[in-house]
Amino acid sequence: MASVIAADSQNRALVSLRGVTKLYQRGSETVEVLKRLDLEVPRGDFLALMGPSGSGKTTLMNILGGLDRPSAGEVLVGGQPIHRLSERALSAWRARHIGFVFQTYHLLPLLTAAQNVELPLMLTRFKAAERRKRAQVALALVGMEAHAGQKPTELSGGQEQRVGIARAIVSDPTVLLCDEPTGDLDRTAGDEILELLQLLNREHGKTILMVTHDPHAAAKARRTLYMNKGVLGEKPEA
Amino acid sequence: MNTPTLVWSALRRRKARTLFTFLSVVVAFVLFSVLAAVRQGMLGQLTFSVAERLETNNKISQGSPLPVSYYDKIVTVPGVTAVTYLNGFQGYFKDPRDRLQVLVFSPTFLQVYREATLPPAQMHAWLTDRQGVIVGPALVRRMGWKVGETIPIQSKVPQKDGSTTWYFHLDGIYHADLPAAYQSFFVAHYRYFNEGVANPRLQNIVFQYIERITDPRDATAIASAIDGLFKNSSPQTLTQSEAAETISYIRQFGDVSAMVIYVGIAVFFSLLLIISNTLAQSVQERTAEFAILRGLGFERGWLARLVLQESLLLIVSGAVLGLALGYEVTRLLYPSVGNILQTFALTWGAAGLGILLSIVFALLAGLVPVQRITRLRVAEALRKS
Repeated sequence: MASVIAADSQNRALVSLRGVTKLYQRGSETVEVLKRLDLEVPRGDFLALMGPSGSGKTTLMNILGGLDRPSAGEVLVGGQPIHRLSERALSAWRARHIGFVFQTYHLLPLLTAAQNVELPLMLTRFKAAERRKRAQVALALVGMEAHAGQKPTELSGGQEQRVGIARAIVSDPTVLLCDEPTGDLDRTAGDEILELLQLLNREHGKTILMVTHDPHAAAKARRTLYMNKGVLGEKPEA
Repeated sequence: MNTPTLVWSALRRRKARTLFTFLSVVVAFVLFSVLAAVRQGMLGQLTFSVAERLETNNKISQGSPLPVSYYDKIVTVPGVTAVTYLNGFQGYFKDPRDRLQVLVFSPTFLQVYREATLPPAQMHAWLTDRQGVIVGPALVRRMGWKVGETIPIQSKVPQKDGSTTWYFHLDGIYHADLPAAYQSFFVAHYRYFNEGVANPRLQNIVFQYIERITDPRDATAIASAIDGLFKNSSPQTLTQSEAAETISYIRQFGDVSAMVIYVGIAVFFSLLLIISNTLAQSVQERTAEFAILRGLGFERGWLARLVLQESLLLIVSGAVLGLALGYEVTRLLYPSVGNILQTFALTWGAAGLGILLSIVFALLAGLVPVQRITRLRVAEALRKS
């Protein structure tokens, strides 16, 4: 059964998924991780995606971010059918339009916070001074300007995640994809990160899709969708 | 933030491993330098062999004497423009450790060995001075001599008056664009030695004739003509081109040197395989980081170039240091092996080949990791991390 989750009718959808199916081969068995999924996410939305492990949340996130391709269906971001892009074009598109925030931060350990944030800007035409300036602005936005010269090992989990968010927003992407952004943090640090994401959504108009197991985190989003066995719904499975 | 920063940070990730890998490369290229020097020692003399030069030796055994009277016949052979002959003895200057070989030639030496040049005044002084000597610049530097000086050489070869000290006048310093081994000759007059030596068995003999010919294409015919002159004499002669003579010399110890080189090559490549494996391991450990970079929008080709730059920096810088150390090692080894391998040295050509080899190897060593990166499934790698 296809589940249709429509956006607010007044907003034109920024992200559209139409009949997206994802099949995986597990030995001789074919597993349908996403089942003819339809989804529309308007510009400026903050959508939380909840569901049990193995329900397909991360797969959906990867397809939206161009890290994986659907077996069938269409994925449009800003009207652009990204499922048709070549590998090379997809990389360029990702650099321009997508900011990833990971559960385990994934900062490069030997680079400073500022250098980590500057990484995505290496793919732009900005000169070194401009790149440094933009990295500082992004760090300031997440409250980490004082830690610019520190390496990830010198930062707390919450601080690392802030740097991860600064890296995700530094190139001003169209969509922020956050995979369990508070999953490795305690409640206080997690709340700070969620407030930061809310700020980015509310004050800076960032469109955010967040995968989470935590109802407390999901409650900070504008709306929540539930995924179960590859199908999206507006209510959790009973 | 730029690419070199990323390359450098990757190498600093495991400092001990990087250091040991770097040292392995350095050792491999020190070994390469020594092997290249051995090869140059064996074959280098061929490079300086002059096609217009023939050498006549005792047919029974090279190094056995020939009568000096053969000169008058050899010089008449058509196509021969100049002939010189050689004898010599061991001696030392002041300190027995400062040993040298006194080579005594006929005055036609400079007509046969045209690559040795010296100012006309010095040449004239030597030609007209029975006790005169011309010396290579390296030996002059080593001994601290000056032109015009009288040089006493101690020897075990006594003179007719019983003295074992031979006095020479340093009349000139020759110049030759040849390797170090050719910069230390001590060239005196045959006549001075022949007339002064006490032992009658050392008089009127030479160990080799060297002929200059007009056309190298006639070398075989001229060599036959020379040997034909002494077909019915005792001793008979064997004349061959300088290059052929060098090849005969190399063959005397060729098999041993070849074995040393093959073993060295095996060790060299084993070391480089270990280095390649270490690089592959380093890349595998950073799979998640590469997945993140892909996620940020870096293309496969960009990441492949990043890994190749790491490999190039590590291996080529190690090679440069290894070759520099190898150069010093070969210089230090030269006094021990120079008497057998006169051209034993790391040449610029060999060093260039070493650098080229290191670049090729860096690219080859990077192939496996690069393949791993290009096949990386980002979503899967992120999930596993």
